[in-house]
Amino acid sequence: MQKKKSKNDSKNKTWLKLDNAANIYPSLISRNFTPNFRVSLSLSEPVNPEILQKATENCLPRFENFSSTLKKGLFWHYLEHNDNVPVVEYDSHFPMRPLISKYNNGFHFRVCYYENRIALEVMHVITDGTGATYFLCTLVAEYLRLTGKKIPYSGPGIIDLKAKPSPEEMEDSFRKYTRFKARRTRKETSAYHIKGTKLPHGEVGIITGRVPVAAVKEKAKQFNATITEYLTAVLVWSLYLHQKEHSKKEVAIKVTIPINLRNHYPSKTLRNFSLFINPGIEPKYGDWDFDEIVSDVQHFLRLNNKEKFLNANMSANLGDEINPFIRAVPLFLKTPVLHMYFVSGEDKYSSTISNLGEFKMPEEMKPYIERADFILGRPYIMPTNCAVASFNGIMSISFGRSIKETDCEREFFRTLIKMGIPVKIESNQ
Amino acid sequence: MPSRKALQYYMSYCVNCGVELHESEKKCPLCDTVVLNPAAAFDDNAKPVFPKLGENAGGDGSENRRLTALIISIVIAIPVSVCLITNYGISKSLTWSLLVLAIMSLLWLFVTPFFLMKKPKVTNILLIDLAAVLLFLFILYKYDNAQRNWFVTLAVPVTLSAFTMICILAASIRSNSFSSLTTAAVFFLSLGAFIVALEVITDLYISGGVSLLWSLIVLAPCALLALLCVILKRKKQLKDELKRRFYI
Repeated sequence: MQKKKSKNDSKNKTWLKLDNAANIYPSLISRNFTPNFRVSLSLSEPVNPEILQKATENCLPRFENFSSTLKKGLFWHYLEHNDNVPVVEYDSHFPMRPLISKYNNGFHFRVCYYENRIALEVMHVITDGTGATYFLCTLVAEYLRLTGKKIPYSGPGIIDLKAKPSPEEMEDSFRKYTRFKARRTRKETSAYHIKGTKLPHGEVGIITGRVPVAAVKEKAKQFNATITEYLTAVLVWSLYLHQKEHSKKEVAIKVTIPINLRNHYPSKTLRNFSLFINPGIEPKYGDWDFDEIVSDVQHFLRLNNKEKFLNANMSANLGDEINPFIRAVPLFLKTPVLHMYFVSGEDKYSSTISNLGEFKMPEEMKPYIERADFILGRPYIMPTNCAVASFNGIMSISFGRSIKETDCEREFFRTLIKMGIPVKIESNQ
Repeated sequence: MPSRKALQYYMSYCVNCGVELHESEKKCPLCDTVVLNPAAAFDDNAKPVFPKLGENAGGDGSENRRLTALIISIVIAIPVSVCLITNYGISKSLTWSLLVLAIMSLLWLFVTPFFLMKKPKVTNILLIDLAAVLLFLFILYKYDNAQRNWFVTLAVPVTLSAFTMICILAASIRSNSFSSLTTAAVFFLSLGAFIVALEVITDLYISGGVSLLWSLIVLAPCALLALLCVILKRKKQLKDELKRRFYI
C-alpha cells in the first residue's frame, strides 16, 4: 500500500496508486459513462434503509479502496482517501448509473436497496468482482448483525470488521507477482460485433436468466467441460448463429473471460487482480457445430489458464506501466492514448462472459439470503456482455446491453432451453 | 379470475422461446411476444425486478412531479404578483394586470396538469387545455366590451376546429399501426382542413357568406405533401435512402 503524508495538515490524506488493471479505466470516464458492475444479494425480508446506512458506515473504514476518490496527478490518476459518508440509495430502473465523484459524495461505489435486495455498484477502478463480493457479503453480514441476527465476524467470503486492515489487502498484486522474464504478445485480430440501435446514454438493458446449477453442471459434464467453458461455448455459438443470419462477412468470434488470478497466487488483495483470456472461433475455416466449439473453447482455456502464460501476460501489461518513457508522459497526453488503446482492444472481442461462481459466506448467513446476482454495466464498445453468479443451487446469468435488440440473449437462452435446461427470465424492460 | 394468492401457482412461459417468465413480464424480453396465460390474466400489481422508471423510495415518483408542479407555479406567480401590485399601487384598481393574470393562468393550466396527474392521459390534458383556452377567450370577450358576439361566432368554432385537428394528430401519433410517414400525411391533411375551416369561419363572421381563396393556397401544398408521404411509405427503397441521407 502506498501511503504518503503531506506537511500540510489539511492535505494529510492517505493515497493509493492505481493498480495495473485500473490504470486504463479513468480514460473512459465521462458524465455519461463509467466502467461499472454490480453484485447483489436478496434477503429473506425487506431491507431497512436506516440500518443499511449504519451497516455501510461501519464497513467502510475497513475497505480503504472503497473509501477513496479518484484524483488526477501530473502523470497518473490515483485514489485519495475520502472523508465523506456514502448515502445508501433506492434502486433505479436503469442501474449502474455513472459513478463520477461529483454526483456521489466522491465515492466510486453505490449501495442500493429495493424490496429484499441489497446491491453494490462499483466502478472497476477500485476493485474487481472478487473484491466487490467481499465488500457486499461483509456489508450484508453487518446489516444482519444490526438486525439482531447472530453472524460471526470472520468466515468465508467476509472480512473481519474488528480486525485491523492488513497491508496485503490493499497491495497491487500485479506488481508483487509479475516476474518480467517473458512477455507474451497481445496481438489480436478484429472480432464480430452485433449491430443494433443504441440505447440512450445512461440506459442499460438487462435480461437475467435463472437456471438450476445442477442442470448446467450435468449438461457441461456431457461435453467434458466446466460450467464456465460450457457457458462460454453457448455464448460463442449464439454469436456464431447471429453472424450467420445477419452478416455477409465472416469475422472471428471471440469472447473475453476475466480470470481471477487469486486462484494462481496466494494474494489477499481486495483490489483488481484479474487478467483476460479470449477464446473463440474463426468462421472462415468452415461450418462449426456446437460440439466443436465446446471442444475448442475448452482446450483454449485449459492451455492459456496456466500460471506461466498468465505471468507472461502480466509482464507485458506491467512492462508498459513501468517503462520510464511512458511514465514521464503527462497525464493529459496519456489519457487519450489509453482511451484509444481500450477502444481498439474492445474491437478485438465480440462479448464478455464473467463467472463469479458460487457466492461464499458463513453458514450462519445463508438462511437469511435468498439469491445472488452479478451484472456487468453498460458495455463501452461491445453491444452486450454476460455475467454469471450462483447461490443456493440457482445460477443467475445476466446480460447487460447497450442496444435495443436482444438477438444474442435470445439465441443464448433458447440454446439452453433446447438442451433441456429450464430458464426463468427477468428484465428491466 | 384466480385470487392473488392462487396466482403464484401459475407460471407463464413464452410460447416462442420456451422460457419461463417473471410474473412482472408483460412481454417476453427476448422476442417481444405478448404473454398469454389462459389460466390467469397478467397481474398488474406484480413487483418488477427493478423499480419502475422514475420510481423512488417514496413510491412512484409522484412526489417529484408534485414538487416540479410547485416550482412551476411559483415561477409563474412571480410576474403575476409583481403586475398586480404595480397596477394596484399606481391606479388603486386592478385593470391591465387582470389580463396578465388570465394569460399566466392559461399558461399554468397548460403546463401543470401533466405533473399533477398520477398517470397523465393525453385526452384528459387536451380537454383541460380546451376548457382553459375557451375560458381565457371568454374573459377576453367580457374584458373587450365588444359590440359583436365574436366569442360564439368566431372564437369557439376556431378553438374547436384546432382542438379537433390536434386530437386527430395525437390519435395518429399514439396509434401503433401508423408509421411516421402516415402520421406526417395525417398532419398535413388535418392542417389543410383546419386552414379551410378557419377561412370558412372568418368569412362567415366578417361577411356572412363563404368564398374560399387563401385557404386553398395552403390546402393544395398540404394535400400534395400528404400524397408524397403516402408514396414514400410505399417505396421502401426510397424511404431507406432518405432515412440514410437525412440521418441525424
